[in-house]
Amino acid sequence: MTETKNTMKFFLIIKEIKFLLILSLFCFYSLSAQAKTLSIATATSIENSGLLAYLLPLYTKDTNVEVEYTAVGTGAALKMGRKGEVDVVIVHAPDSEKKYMLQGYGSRREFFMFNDFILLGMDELKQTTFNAILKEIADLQYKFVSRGDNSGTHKKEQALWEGIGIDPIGEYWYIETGKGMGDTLKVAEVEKAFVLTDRATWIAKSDELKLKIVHQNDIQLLNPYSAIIVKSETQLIQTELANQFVDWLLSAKGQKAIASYKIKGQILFKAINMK
Amino acid sequence: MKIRSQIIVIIAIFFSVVLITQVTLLKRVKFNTQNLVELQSKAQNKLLKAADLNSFYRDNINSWKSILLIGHTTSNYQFYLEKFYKSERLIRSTLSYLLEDTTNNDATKALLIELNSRIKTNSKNYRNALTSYYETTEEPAKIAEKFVVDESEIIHLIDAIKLKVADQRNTLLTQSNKDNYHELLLSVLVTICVFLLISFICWLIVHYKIISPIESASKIVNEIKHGNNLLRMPVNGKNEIANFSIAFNEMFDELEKQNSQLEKAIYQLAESEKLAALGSLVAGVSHELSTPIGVALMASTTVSATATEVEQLLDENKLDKKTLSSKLGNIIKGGNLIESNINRAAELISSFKAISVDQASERKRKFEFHQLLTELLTAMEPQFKKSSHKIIISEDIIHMDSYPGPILQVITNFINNSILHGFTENKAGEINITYAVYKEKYIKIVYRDNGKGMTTEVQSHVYEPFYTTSNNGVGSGLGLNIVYNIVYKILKGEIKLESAPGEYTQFTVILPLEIS
Repeated sequence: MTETKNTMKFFLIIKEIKFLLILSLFCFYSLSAQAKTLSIATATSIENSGLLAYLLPLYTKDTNVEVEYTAVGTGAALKMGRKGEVDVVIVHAPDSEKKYMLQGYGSRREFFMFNDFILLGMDELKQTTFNAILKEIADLQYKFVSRGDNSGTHKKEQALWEGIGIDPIGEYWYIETGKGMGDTLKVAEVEKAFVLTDRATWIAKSDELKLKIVHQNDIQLLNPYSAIIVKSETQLIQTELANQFVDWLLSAKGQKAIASYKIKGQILFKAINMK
Repeated sequence: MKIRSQIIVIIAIFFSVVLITQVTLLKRVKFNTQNLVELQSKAQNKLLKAADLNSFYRDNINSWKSILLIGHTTSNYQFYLEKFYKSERLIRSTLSYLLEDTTNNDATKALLIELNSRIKTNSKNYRNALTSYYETTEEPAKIAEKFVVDESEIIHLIDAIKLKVADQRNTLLTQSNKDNYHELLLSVLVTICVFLLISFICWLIVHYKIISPIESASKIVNEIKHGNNLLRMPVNGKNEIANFSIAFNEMFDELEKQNSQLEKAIYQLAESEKLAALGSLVAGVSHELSTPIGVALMASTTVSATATEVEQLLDENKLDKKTLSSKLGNIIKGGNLIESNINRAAELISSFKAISVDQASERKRKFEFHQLLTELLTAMEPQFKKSSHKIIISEDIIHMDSYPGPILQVITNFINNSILHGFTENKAGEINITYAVYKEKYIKIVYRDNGKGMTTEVQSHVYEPFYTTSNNGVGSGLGLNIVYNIVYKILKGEIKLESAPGEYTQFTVILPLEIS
């Protein structure tokens, strides 16, 4: 136990040093060319889809603020937020977000884009409504692959199972990977199993996979993304930068940028404000 | 079927049975060993899986802890998360493998079921802990501490299960060894039983098909020896014993034929003996007759010559009283001589006639014993005259209704034996024939001579045909054999012999006075 404490301490120390270094770099940059850096933690689906790689440079061009991101998955991202390790958290898990805000770790929460989830699979299903489909899968014990990593997708999936009163954990046909969406899809392909995914990842990866869309366009499967600014008493500059970032996301420019991100001619994320 | 082939068949059956049992045993042992090897490897697998549980669970704990303590700050947490889920799947599959095994005893089953539910609860708790960890600022170390007791209990359970599985494997081993040993014992027992059974059957065959017939053959030989000449071996079937019985019977038929031929020969010899005796008698008679008849003839010639002389003298008138009286005296003397000699001849002839008739005939008639004897002695007088031997007989008158001829043969034989074998040439021998009525219905005749007697050795052989003590070829050796047969078969009597070497020989013959 003391070893892990030491390791923790060690990592914390490393983190501190990193932070100090970054800070000094910030100062250097701010002295030289007014360069600032924002650190964000995001869900993996935003990174997997390539949105961040598209969006963030646009922002930097606009504002001269560098954005450093870690795509760790919704749960871990929120944890990082709680620990004050990042400035902004972009996740897509409404219940967890609400809890987070209630706990008082966020100063501002803005819903700024959405897409939907789809169910992929290889077998034929008889049922047509989503709840009935899930029940059919559970009753007939078709294989189902889950992220199992407290990500937004995973939390959505958990909520859906809860919705029909089935607990698949421990069943031999329910496979938890602990991996990101792309890898999880690959596992689903190998196991010839069903899997819930966000449309963005699917569009990006559909060419590589043999899976087929089994169910989509269900109102239950809406997937809203929110940005939460981490509450901080001390990091006033960062909070300022964070607000600036979130405002940009909500602005016409930001929304246009989001709406213009396409892969294979398809829009991955839907903007909320189409002015 | 032949006995030889029967035994061969039995032995063939024995060998094939033994072969079959041995092959069956080998197959069973092989099958058992195979089974045992399979069971052992299964048990070993089970043990390995039970051991694996421990390492899988520890992996599970470690990866979970790693997620808590390390993973959240870096994307490494996904690496540990993956490990967490993998180890969980391994635990679940190993547990289900162990649970599904049908060789678990009840205690092991109970432990496994408990472990299963505990692991399920533990998994859920881990997940809940992770979720709450993401959603709170709770210290990971504190979270981890909450699970320490549960974890150690689970590990204890896993170890207990491993011990039980190991135990089961060991008992399986000893049980299988015992089973194999039992199989071996059983096979040995079966082989011994089969062997005993086959031996018993063989013994039965030998006893009933070989020994019994041999024993019955001995019995039959004994019976035949005791006089049942026509008894033969029964012939059953066509086996070796049957062939033996046939040969045996043929042999006895042959013996019977030879025996009857021998009897015929002996009879013929006896007859020729009789004839020879008769012949010697005739010779004696004719010799004896020639003397008186010769004397009578001579006397008659003298008488006729003297008478002719007288006639001549008469014619010549030279006959005077003195010459006539002397010549008449000669004629009378001559005439007396002729009369006495002719009488003697007639006497001899009538005696011989009586003897020869009696001797030659075996007719039964009433007669008087003393008279018979006297007639015999008279007939034998010529033979006795030459020697100095004497015969003394009793004077009793005894009437009999029997076969006189054979009786005479018996006495004649005794006398001849005494003369030929009993008496030596220099010493004068004495024969005593005494007889008397015995037990009202019998006559006891005791013939005794004071000759050189017989040793017990000789006595034992004396009635055997062709047995003789003379070494100069005199006598056929049949005499007493004939006597024996006559006494027992014809006269229905008994004969006893007593003798002291150098002193006497005595025959005691007891005959029924009347033969019906």
